[in-house]
Amino acid sequence: MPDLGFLNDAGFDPASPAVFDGNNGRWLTRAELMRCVTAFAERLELPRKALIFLFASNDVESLVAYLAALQAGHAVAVLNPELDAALAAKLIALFQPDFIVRSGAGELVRAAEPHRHDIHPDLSLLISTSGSTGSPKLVRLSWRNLESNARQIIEALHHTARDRTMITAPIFNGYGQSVIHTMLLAGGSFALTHARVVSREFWDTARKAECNVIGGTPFFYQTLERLDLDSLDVPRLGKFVQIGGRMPPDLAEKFHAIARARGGELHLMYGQAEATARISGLPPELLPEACRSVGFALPGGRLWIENDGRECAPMGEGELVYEGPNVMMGYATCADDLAKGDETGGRVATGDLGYRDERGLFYITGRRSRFVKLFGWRVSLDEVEQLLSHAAPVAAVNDGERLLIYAERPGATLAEAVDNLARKLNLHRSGFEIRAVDAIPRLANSKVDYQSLTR
Amino acid sequence: MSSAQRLEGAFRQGLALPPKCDVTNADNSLRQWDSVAHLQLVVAIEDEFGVRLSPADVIELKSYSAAIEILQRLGAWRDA
Repeated sequence: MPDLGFLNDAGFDPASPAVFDGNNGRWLTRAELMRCVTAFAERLELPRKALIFLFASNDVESLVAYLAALQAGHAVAVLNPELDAALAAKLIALFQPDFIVRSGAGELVRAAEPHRHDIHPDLSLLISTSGSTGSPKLVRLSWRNLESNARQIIEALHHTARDRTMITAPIFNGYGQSVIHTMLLAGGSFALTHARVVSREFWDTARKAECNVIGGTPFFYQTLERLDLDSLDVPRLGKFVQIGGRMPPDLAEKFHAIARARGGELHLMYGQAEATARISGLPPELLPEACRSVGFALPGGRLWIENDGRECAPMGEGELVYEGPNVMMGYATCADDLAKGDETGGRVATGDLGYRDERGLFYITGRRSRFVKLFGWRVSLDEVEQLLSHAAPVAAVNDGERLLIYAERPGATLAEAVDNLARKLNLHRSGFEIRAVDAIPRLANSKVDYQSLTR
Repeated sequence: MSSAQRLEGAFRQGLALPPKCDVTNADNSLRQWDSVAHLQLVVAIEDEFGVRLSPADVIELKSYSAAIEILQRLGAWRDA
């Protein structure tokens, strides 16, 4: 068995707690988790490297399957178990996984004719660029990507074996995975539950597990503000981490103050799947003054602003470009791409626009790429257009927190199609807005002129 | 409009449910009832009834019938 996996560090006490299962109220130690992982990895044995699709829920069963897939040296794509059946079927037909694992159902399906794929030896994890639309465009990550990003995050957050976090995001999401990697590699621990953030059960789990760390998207912090953290009886929580899009400055200031009052700190972070998970972080001591900044590149990485292929001077606007050991190998859009090696050379143009100030702090002002963050999750605009194309020709653009759908003469058919789409993607309808336009503006090459729609 | 009609409207809007479905049996086992929908529902109820839900109310809001109990306690519910 190759020396992969987040549990292999012999420096940590095997009897120390690793994961608290909020669904049954029990702890697993590192040794117990390792035993489960090794047993599951044996069920995934094939004479050569396999592709695994894991439909994962936030439970220990899914966690074990995930860690086992990595440890067995296979390539794994972790997917939303509630992904629309037609979208899931499309992905399966396209990539033809050797195994399909569904937790909860306890299901492990072996393909009728396995190991058809030529899979690059370095490939470990595949993350969808737009999980809710079941995007077939996957980010290819190596074991080195996963491990280096986890080490960068540990260093930025000063995590140790004493740290324990509550997992607030689905573990089929790249952020959820990065929390797992980080805590296990730090020798720390975490708690998992099916319960939603807005529920008694979720906070009971955080309290029973005695978590001191919690993180989430700006939407998570809006929810937390509404729930009133002090009334939730989780006194140990002190280290707060924010990911997944720009935090409104007043919310950052508020949670900075809350964290300080608890003797802790708030870390604002920025990242994307193309860099495994995270790219930069703001040292808490620069808050609240620098609450609009995404901070500095993580240790071992370099971040700069580029315009027309040249690096910008401080305050000059351009695209954020990042270089580091956590940058993906490339994308995969079909099974053949799984054989590809590194195509990025460790550098990624993020698609985010911004600038760097005189102190070297980075700020994001806009987005060039065709993605929108809805409630903290990345959604592909092109795929939304395609999924609505049966109802009407539309142009989808990003309006900060919302997805605007421009159409010529939008009618009831389109309204209904958007309702259905929101339902299908498990995204709240309030994230979408239909707008009428006389004619969808087009460039000379007949492509949609998105810039004039966002102006 | 009766309190019940207004609450049904708030549930449809907050949980983004289709216009015709019965919402009086709605509870948080619904697929649509995720964290985003939950907060949208809170806001929809607050706007419709002119009340402010406490953090405990927000957590206890687990179903249509729980919403009625909360609104009764806040004195915002009028029986038809």
